[in-house]
Amino acid sequence: MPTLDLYNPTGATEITRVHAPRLDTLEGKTIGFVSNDSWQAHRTLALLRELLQGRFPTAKIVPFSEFPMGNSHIDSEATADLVQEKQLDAVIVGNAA
Amino acid sequence: MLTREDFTGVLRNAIAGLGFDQDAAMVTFPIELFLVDSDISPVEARFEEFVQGLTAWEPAVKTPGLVRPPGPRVEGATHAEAAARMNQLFLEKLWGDGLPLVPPDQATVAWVLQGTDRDPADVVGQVLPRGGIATVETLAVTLAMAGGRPEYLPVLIAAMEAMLDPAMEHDKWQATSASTYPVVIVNGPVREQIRLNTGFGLLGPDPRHPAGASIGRALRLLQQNVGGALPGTGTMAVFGAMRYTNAVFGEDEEGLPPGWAPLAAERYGRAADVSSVTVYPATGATNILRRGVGKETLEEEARASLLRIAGYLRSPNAHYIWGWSQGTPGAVLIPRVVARQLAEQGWSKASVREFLWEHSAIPLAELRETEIVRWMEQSTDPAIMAGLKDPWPIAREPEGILLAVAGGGHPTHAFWMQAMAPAVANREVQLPRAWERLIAARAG
Repeated sequence: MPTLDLYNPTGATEITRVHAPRLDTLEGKTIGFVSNDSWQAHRTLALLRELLQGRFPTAKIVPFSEFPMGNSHIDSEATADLVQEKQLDAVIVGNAA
Repeated sequence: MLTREDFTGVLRNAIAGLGFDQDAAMVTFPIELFLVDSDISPVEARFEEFVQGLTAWEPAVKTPGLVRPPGPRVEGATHAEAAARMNQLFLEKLWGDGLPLVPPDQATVAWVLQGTDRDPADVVGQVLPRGGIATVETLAVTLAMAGGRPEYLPVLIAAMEAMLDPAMEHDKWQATSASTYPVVIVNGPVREQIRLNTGFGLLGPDPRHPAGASIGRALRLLQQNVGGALPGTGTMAVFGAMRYTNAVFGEDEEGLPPGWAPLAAERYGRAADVSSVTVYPATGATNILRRGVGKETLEEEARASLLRIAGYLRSPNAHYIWGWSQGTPGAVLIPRVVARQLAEQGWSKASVREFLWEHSAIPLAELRETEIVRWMEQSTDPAIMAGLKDPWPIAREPEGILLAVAGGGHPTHAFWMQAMAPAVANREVQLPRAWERLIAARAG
């Protein structure tokens, strides 16, 4: 019976990073927002900020206005450095559409 | 991550391209949420999912390492049946393009690999946004699938290397909602050696010049299978453009008038006996009827036709912003008959570009009315706003417009392939030692 042993056309992938472990709670944590300033992010992320602060009153929320905004600007080492500089425990990024 | 439901494929690719496994904590919504004045109450309704994403979400892969997926095995009562099953399987795995594929088995791939002296394990590059690693072998596998021959492999390798040039920012035009496709313009002896088209029907299809179709198809399959540019999930290309075979053709160097240099020579200093590819991402393809009715003088027709071409370039196209400083707004193709007529009147490639650049500049009022200026204000290139003037040229300099002599020997039409190109890249085509024997052995 003819058999075809075929190559996989997708190439290899190299996983060099693993995702950060999750937080046990958001109480007392510093949570930041990074916005691409597109697709109504100025409304949705603002709403999330309000909801988080209401649910977790001891959390410190760092708004998106404290970071560069826009696809090209947030896709930078400078933004990543600023996230670290502000010692965020977690980040919510939006909006990707 | 807050994202749209049908955009997750793009995000998974982007995450993989950063070195992570293809996953992240996401909360997805339909497109309606992201529109102007939308109802965003669903964000509040699903607030708990955001909390879970930060506190409870678990990734599937928790240790780094290289992941090499195995190849499938297919059987059939006959070879034809096995090949049919292979095609069905590849469609189910989203590895095909809807047209029949040649089975990439060991013998076929080994045959195609004769087109290079490079080690099959040599890494050509990482194809974003998915981040798959393309080796020489990967390219040979894909070229085999696309129906290619070994003598096409050097051009495919060069085209992929050019596409992956960091300045090209291929991750962005791979995933964008614009319908981009790479244009590969080939210069040098390899054009005739592998039967690339430079004349009538150069964008295909043409059974007398099959190389461009196979190379372009292989490039597209690599973009999809290695780079993750799957329609609707990996790439948001709304329309898809001519993505089956992209655009791979040769410049008609034999038709260049005296003093008109090949594209690769004037931009990159390539010698006549060196083959190379010039690559950029296009977003359109437009035929331009340039000829007059035949009752005007040659000079009148020349000027009018160039104005007509400039009219097609002069469009409020926001994509020009990306290529304004270092890239290109696109490529104009004119056939040899037209090039010779222009040259006999004293036009050079440079003066044709200068004319097109000057007469394709867009009035500032139109840029404001069409909100293009807002796109300019968002650009990270400081030269954009610094270069804002009335009228606004579609490139910082005339040399930004690519001009090649190509197409059938008929004066009626020119062709314009507009771009979304932060850069234009050129790579030399590297031939194997056995090249002469390889091209002598080709059929037909």
